Amino acid sequence: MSESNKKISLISSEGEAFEVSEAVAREFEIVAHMLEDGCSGSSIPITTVDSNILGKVIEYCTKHVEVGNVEGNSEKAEKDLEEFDKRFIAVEMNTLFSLILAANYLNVKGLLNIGCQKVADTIKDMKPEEVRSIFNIENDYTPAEEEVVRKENEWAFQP
Amino acid sequence: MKTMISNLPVDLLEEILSRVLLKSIGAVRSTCKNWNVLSKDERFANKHIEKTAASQRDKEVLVITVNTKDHLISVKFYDFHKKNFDPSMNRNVVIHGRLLMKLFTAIGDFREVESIEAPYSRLDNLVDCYVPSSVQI
Repeated sequence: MSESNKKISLISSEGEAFEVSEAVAREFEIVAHMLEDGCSGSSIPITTVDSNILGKVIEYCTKHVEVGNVEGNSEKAEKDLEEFDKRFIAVEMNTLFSLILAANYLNVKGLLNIGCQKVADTIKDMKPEEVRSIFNIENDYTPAEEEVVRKENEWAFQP
Repeated sequence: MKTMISNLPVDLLEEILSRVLLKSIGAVRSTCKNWNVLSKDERFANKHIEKTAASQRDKEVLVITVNTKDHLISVKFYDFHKKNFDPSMNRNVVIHGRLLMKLFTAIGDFREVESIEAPYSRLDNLVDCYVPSSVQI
């Protein structure tokens, strides 16, 4: 297939167009399916994702397509990609959740994966009150209820 | 609008929490009622075990459930290769003393623990822990 030079416009919720190669657009599985279903339009509206987040997701996919195209896929390239992912995902929580939502909607599995893992890694080693504060979660337990749950899971708090 | 964890649909929340290491699940359950209920769900437990399986591909997991009424412990072995609980490996053992509920990721020979009666020290070489959803406390 000689489609590699074809350009596709992805339109954010604000109506901003992002022109990407078809290879990058296909990293969005939702777009890949549209293309396979014969949707031949060159502009695809991504109505639930805003420009800021869409730009980031495109950045992620572009990098991964680039590295995927490197012949032989050397160890160095893989390491670089790992480094890129790490830096890419080091964002504040609200952005991280927006990225997760977008990756889920657009079906970008790699991004969804590192996004969810990042949140899980943040929770790890935290006390419940720290988890609540960082994620803005209201403590809906009464002190007595909380004590019961804590007791139930006491084994888990101990190494 | 800022996106918060409470804006995520439940399947994404499940996806995230099921990646939290087994030893931190207690903190997850103490965070709020919603998380407590979610992380006790059977689907969640299966997902959690799958994630553990993905990160510890060649280990096997020993699920220990405790019935506090008769101190009966049911032991199940999760087979990462077949991705199921191996029914031929299920054991019921009685333990005395302090009840511990753990799912251990074992490195050694599981057969060694099949006959444990009291001493938990026999399980010292097992690492990581988890309470599956079916545990009745």
